[in-house]
Amino acid sequence: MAEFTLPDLGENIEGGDVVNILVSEGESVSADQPLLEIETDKAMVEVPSPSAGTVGKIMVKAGDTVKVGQAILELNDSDGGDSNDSQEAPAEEPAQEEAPAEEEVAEETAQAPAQEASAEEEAPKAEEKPAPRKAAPAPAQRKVAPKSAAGVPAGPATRRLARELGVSLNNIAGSGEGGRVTREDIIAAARSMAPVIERKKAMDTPGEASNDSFGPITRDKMAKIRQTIAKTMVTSKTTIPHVTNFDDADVTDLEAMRQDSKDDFTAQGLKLTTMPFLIKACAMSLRKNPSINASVDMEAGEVIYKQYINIGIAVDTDRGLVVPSLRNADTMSIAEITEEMTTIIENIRSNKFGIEDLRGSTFTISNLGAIGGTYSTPVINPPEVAILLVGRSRMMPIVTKDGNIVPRLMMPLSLSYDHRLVDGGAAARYLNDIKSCLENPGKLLMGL
Amino acid sequence: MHTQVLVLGGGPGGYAAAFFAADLGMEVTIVDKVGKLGGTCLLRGCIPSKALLHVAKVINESEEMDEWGVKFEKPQINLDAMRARKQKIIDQLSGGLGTLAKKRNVKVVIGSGIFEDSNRMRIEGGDPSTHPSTGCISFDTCILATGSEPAMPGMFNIGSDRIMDSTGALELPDVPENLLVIGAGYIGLEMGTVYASLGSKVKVVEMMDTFLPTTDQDLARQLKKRLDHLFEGIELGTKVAGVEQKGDKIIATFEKGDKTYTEGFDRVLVCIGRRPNSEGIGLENTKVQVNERGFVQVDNQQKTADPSIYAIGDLVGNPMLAHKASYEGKIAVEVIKGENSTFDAQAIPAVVFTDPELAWAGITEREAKEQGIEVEVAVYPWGASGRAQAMGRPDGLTKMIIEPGTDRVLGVGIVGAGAGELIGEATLAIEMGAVVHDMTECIHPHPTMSETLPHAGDAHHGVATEIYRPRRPKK
Repeated sequence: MAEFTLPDLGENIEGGDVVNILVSEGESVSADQPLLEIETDKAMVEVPSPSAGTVGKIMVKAGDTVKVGQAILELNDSDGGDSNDSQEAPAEEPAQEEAPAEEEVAEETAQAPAQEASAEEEAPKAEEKPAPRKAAPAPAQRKVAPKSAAGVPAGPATRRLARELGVSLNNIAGSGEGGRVTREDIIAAARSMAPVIERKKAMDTPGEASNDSFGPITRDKMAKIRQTIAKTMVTSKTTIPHVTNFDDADVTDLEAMRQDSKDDFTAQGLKLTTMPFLIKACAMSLRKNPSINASVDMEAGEVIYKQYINIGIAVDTDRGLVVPSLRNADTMSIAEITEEMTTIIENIRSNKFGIEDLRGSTFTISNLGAIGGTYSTPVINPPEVAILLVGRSRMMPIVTKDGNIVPRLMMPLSLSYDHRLVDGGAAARYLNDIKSCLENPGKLLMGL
Repeated sequence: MHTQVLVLGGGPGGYAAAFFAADLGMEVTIVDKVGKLGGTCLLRGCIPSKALLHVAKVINESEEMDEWGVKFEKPQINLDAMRARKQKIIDQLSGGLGTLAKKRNVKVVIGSGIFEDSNRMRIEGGDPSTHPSTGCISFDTCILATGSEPAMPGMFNIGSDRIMDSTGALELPDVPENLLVIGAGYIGLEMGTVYASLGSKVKVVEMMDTFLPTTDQDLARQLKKRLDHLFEGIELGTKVAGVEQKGDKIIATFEKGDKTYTEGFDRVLVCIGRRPNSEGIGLENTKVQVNERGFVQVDNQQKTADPSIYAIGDLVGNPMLAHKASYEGKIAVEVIKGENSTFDAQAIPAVVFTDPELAWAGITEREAKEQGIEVEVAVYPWGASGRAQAMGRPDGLTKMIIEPGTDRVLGVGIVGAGAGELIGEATLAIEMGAVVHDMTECIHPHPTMSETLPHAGDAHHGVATEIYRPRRPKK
């Protein structure tokens, strides 16, 4: 009987909440059979069995928060022998690393890289078994500061900040001399996608009715995904100098074209909305504006220009905002985009998506056209540098070049951009390109 | 009458907590027995003793001027004037606190507070004009800050005004020709220093075999050397078996080993410790837990077992120090406000205001040894300091307790003139997790005693400018 520990679920994911346990004690399971469902801060993840065997004691229950490396259940390997050893390795890692650190604290600076190296050597070994999702090299936690008699070295203000942000000092590798934890370390830990947040007691009683000074309230657990949105938004708004440009695109012709083709798409079982045109317009324009299809690495002082164009689509779900990525949108036709987008959105709304589906977008579109509103100031989805918010198109009186007033269908566009990298001119040029595509839909077909 | 936060006790823990709570927008009431804010610290402790120690220092320094070729006459001492001057300091500071309370709309009720239950307090005695008409105050939250008082075991309590506790001694009834100080703790040594400087022959007896047993002995030795000279004697391993009054004298019977002997004194000062004030305040009507030594039990958020009652300061345990109390007071207030604050100080500095002063923060070498923590120790003798020589006070040591490997500063102990002023920097270093290089590479002003901190660090690295040490191969 070997302990099955929560395997690495992917980069930066340290754990999640158990939603469902899909097996019971004594049950026989086959390799890759899902054992439990975990809601991480990014998505729902099914954790499959590493091998065939019999489930022994189950050590967690629905609602528990579990961390990578934590024992989940006992699994009797039907192959005989405890070949699960490699699965256990990650669980022991932190402990193993701390022990040598204690003995050999002597040359702290020289020591740190060496420790990391040995940690990485171990990590691949842990992955030899079929891992549910390919485990990325072990994240942050690694270089735990040398354990000191006086606790983690950090100034009182830093400790206070850690308390306020719910960050546990013990899980932070201090970047200062002697492993000292700095203010920046705390902020980075709080911002990382999976910080070790100690849940407040009050949060453990979801839906609990009570009163505050002004009347009755209920207290509900904040879903992981909501917490992630909150953290991402705070990071974005506090690190990125946002500027938003507003404009309108004349989509009268585009709309006529869409109406003309609608029935053809319906016949194929597809609903042709404005969105594929927007995706195509943004993707094509990104090719001409590489600084919008980029990321900023302030630490290295570098700009990362993406050679691929993946469009993030902001999808409004009952669990919160989810942004799946539509890959290589610039190379796809309107029909292909429509098909792909329909599948993606369906998967998102029915909760059938993995973390990979949410990764790698280079630019995001948030389309509120179906709901309403005109302009807004969208918040950039880091590490992207721009986001387009689309409002509801409406008929407006437009003065033509020859001085006539004509009714035209105008689409309100709001483009927020990261002013660290993108200046007003560049943003305006990009927005002009998008407009030009939308106003001359022929361009979307000719693909230049 | 109802108040959001009731603070029982107006000492440095209580008023700090009350003012902080008011600053954070809470509605606050302080209940204190005495008509003045300040508590033991201001009214009968830290501040008056420091005023008198200042007098002692000037007297002693003027005597030392002899060596410099400056001769003063023997000082004439006017105790009335000295008492008045000391009282003026207390009145000024306490009056200031009263004004600050008013400005913050903190209500001060003068009287004894007794819990009726977990949310109500009855007020008795004191100044009824400050009491609520019902004689009772209900509160959302209470912060207990009743402090401590000098312990006076029954065997010394023989009804003689010649036997004093620290409060009595600070009143300066006279300058007795012979004074017996029972207990060589910091209070006994400080008050002994005052009286000896004013002209009393002071004998200090201590039950323990070691002088300041919890302090690192290399530091304690420096202090004892000078006190041996100032006092008639410091008798260690000596127990006072009994006292009785005969005429104007108190006859004390001592036991040292097998020997028993008696000696007569004009006055006796009992400084054998302080007891928490946890009795007579109706704690039995609440859920507050008190341990067998009378300390109120709290967690690291200053919460007692009663959800509406917090406790801080001397009342919750050692060390009984004003700065610990005010720190705890702020923790309690933040927790009441809903913040996730905890007592997580790495170091509580302590100072014995004798001459030389003895100060420490963080771990001591002795504690490290007892707890089996491996440390490295660096010592810088003040004899190597130009400033110490210029002041004629080379009798000092600055000592650093260092974590091997990381070079992190875990503790600092200092003995020497003005050591108390130096320990603040050491405390900051410990709290910041500073390593020795942080201290040695921070430029300190020359010539000051503050340089002894980085110099101790240099000594640790074997490169102290004023100390030559043959290089040892590094192990």
